[in-house]
Amino acid sequence: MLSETGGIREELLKRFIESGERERLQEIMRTKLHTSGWQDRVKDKCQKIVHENADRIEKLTVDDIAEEVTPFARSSVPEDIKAEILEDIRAFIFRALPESDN
Amino acid sequence: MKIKSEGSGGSGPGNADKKVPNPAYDELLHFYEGKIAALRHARDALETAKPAMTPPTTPPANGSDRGGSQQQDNQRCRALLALELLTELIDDMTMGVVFDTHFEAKQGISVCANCSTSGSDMCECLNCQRSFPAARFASHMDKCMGLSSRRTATRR
Repeated sequence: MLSETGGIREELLKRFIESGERERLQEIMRTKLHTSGWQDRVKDKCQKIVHENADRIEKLTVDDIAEEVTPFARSSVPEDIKAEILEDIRAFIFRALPESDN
Repeated sequence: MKIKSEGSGGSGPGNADKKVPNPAYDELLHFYEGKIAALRHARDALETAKPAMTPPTTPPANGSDRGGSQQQDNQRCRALLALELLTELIDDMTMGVVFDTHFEAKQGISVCANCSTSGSDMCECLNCQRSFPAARFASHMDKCMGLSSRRTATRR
């Protein structure tokens, strides 16, 4: 099975999107993150980055901001939200790839 | 018979209202208990996932234990895949915020090609006399003048 992880991985990612599960989980996560204040924190950080780069603002790209804010955004997600969504994802993977050995 | 006071304001012996129900306290208590339960649940889930997510310390020795480590590898792949999908979801939401911030920043420095009005020049609303940056003026007037369908505006 390991040697096929390439094909299986693609298949699984496709199924994740096509079944609507990804969208469902994204909406759940969006609400939770918003309630927890995560979006406001990330927004503040982004605006701080913009101000720090005020001298070269015309050349500031989306990628520039994204590169600087992503580590902060990832680590700022509350652990309980992360674990909750992670569990749903693991359940999805488990349903899609039952633990049968070949 | 002694009445136990449950943390409501003032627990001194001379306090007349020992058992006054404190709804604010109860609500906060309930909220934090919920949080604690969620964190416990999260910790348990992570404990379960831990063996699958830690890399092997010793390489598989021989063919006889191939089956076991094969399954461990499968478990590890699943766990890493789950983490990857989660990170993608987080990054998606981050990018939403990044795009909005970037757009607002670029609006602030926008300049009209015709009349050279900067995006951050202030305009005064004719109706309510409040000041707005040019880039947000149109959407305010839209709501304030009530020409397009107003939702909850009151007529003056």
